[in-house]
Amino acid sequence: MNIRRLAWKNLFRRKSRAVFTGLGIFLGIGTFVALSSLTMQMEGAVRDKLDRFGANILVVPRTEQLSLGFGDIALGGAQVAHAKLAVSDGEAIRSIELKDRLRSVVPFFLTATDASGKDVVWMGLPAEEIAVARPWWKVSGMLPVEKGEVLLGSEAAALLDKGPGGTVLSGGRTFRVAGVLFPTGEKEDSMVIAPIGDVQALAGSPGNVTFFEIAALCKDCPVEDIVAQIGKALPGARVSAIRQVVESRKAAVDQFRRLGMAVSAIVLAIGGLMVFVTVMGSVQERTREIGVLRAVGFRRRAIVSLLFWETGWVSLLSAVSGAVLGTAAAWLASPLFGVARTEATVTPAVIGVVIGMALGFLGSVPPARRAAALSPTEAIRSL
Amino acid sequence: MGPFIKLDNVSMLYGNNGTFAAALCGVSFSIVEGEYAAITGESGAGKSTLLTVLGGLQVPTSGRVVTAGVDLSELSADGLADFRKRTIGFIFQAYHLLPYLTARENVMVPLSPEKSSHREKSDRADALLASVGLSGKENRLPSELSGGECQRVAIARALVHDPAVLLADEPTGNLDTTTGEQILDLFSEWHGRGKTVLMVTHNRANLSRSTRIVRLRDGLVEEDRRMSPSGQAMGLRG
Repeated sequence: MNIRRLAWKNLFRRKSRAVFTGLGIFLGIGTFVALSSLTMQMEGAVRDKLDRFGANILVVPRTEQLSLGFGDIALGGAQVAHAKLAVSDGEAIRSIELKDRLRSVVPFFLTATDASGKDVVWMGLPAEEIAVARPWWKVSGMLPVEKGEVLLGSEAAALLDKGPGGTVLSGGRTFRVAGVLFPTGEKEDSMVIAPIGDVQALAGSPGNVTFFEIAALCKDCPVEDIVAQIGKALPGARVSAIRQVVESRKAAVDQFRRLGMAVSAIVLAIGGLMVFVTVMGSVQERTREIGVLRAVGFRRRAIVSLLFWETGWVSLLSAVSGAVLGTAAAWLASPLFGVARTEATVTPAVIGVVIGMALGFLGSVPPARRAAALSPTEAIRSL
Repeated sequence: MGPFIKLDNVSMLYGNNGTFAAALCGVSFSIVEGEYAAITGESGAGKSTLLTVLGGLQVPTSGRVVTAGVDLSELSADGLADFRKRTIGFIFQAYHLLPYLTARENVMVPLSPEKSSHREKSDRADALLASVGLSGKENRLPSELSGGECQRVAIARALVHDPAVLLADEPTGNLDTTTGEQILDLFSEWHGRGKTVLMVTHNRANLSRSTRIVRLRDGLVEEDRRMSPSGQAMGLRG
């Protein structure tokens, strides 16, 4: 017989109380682990989705605004590019130190030219990169897959009165309309989108690039470092992170985390309160027993130790079962939150067990102090 | 032989909201080592309070209690706990066994904070249970034992630390006459080994076993007499 065993025996004597004490921790840790696991899975899913969503770094030629005037008369200004970008600059971008974080580097070329007698903007990009660069596009018909095929923005299609299977004439060439873009609300709606080589040929600028769109994998988002490295690789280019996209990614993830933490904190606080109330009740109920233990020579520390062991057993069992349940619940529920089932993550469960033990300990400190401070006189009066 | 227990002008007041009641009013007497003293008196005379003060469960409002050379008023709460463990064995009228523990485990309870092995503690408990006539009932719960058997377990629990003093509060109060006699036989046996026994009792039959009778009345010693082996009063006070 030792204090540990004495505590264990007492738990079995008061099973319903032990279950009630543990219930708070069980539910608290179960909720915490379930929400934490879900949040972690959702964070990953959101990051992946947002990473697939599109570019977050833009590379354009460095330009300067020149003011033109004659005497006091202002004649407006003009942008002067320091250097043009070329398709080959894509290789320089892909050779930076953080190249592993680059999911796609897509060159774009824009030019305004005739299309079946109408002036429209042509946007060229590698045909095979269209689905990567604009995964959210919905198309009636097909995406262009080879030279001589174009995709019309919805407004451009209306302007040219063309649809899938139709043709567009430009620069003495005939282009087949592979598909028409559903309205996006973006500038692409009024553009003709074609393989970059065709657009460069129409503009007479083979190999030239207007800008690069780069999608960086943003798990820990060292986007500033990527920007700096690309800037170093292309001194004549202006490289900028599309801050809004990056920030919105972080905000979305943080929102999930905050929600999970808030709900977990509330449930854990309730669990801690349940421990406090039940252990305090137990101390009051067991005044006589504590009196007997004091009478047979138990020191105050031994009484505290007895209560801590009791709460410790309950906390351990409840926290472990809560963690198992929470992990299983998160795994089962993940498809409901739009997250694919992956391997269950152990970290929230381990943290949950530690928190559960700490919660049990904290919840039992005031009752244990009260029990230790209980004078034998007070306890003996009830004998 | 010098006094083993010495009470010097001990008073105990219980108070609440400015109202005080005196349970002991300047009690002084001494107990020699190896005495078998019965503390008797009417209800409310202060008998149980005196027992708890002697056992270091309560610190008197005033006065001094010195047991085995230790001034209890100088001990901290933990010091008093250690004193009780080393020196005192308590036996209560209602046994106060822990209902979820077997007879053996109840006897082992005072040993719980100690680091000795389970086997060692268990052997000690079994030997004590055997000495109070409970061999073969070590694994029974209190609910499976008679009142007399429960009191025997309580006695074994009180003796597990081999204390110098046994303090008993109406130990036969809940038992029939025959069982009560058997319990008193155990006390006599313990006393026969040179230990000091102090027993609070109403029961006249219990007084005949003692070597000394201290009668309290309204918190004061009304009568204090030593008894000869033949049961004749030798007289001290009263």
